[in-house]
Amino acid sequence: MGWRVVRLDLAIGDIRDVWMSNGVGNIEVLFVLEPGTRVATFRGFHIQGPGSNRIGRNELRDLARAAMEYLDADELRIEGAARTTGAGGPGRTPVPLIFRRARDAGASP
Amino acid sequence: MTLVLRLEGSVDKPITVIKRLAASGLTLLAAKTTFERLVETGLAACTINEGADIPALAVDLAAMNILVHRRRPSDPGLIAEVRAGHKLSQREFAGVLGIEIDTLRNWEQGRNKPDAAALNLVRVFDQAPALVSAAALERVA
Repeated sequence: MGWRVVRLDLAIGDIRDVWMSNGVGNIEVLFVLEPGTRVATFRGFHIQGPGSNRIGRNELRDLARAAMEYLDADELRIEGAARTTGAGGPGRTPVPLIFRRARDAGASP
Repeated sequence: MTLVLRLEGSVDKPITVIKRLAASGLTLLAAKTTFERLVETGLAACTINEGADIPALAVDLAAMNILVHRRRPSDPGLIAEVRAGHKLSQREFAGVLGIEIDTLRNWEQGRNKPDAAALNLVRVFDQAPALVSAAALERVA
């Protein structure tokens, strides 16, 4: 079952947390929203949910789509905060994820 | 109240940590920044509400691989105690700490209060006297 955004209440320049659910488990994300005329950015993005290595690009696709609609942005950059666990070990900053609304919300960077 | 946080391992629930810090009086943004500093360097300082339940916070964070430290209480009697423990005269102790003997006397007799850094120097000396002597003194020829 796909992930669905449960609560989305974005405010520019403020810190936000968003919940997503797939009916079985929840994912919570926390970030600072930086707007742009066409590109919005979720900076310092933290995520926690059903377990390590179980949340990736696909799980964030619905959030990205909903956020771009909400903000009327063409592109969303998700810039992760330094990792606290998992691949690469704590302290490693992940590569930004880029989603585009015009073509496919899951386009690669 | 200033606390020092030390990272002891990986953190599975970063948002829970951030919200726990926010519940102790930090803004959510300050809690997030503090946590990110902790992950980056392994150490971070933050200021929480005076009324916050620090033992409960420490227990909660310890369960998430974060240890909470706070400043030791001031204990001016410690200076004379450490000096006696190492069987040093006031002149000898002042000498190895690299301070004036009058300063040491004033501390021991309560005329002046040593600051936290001075007390920490004495605590370090108690555990590693050679280290403090080597740092405070230079060899002549």
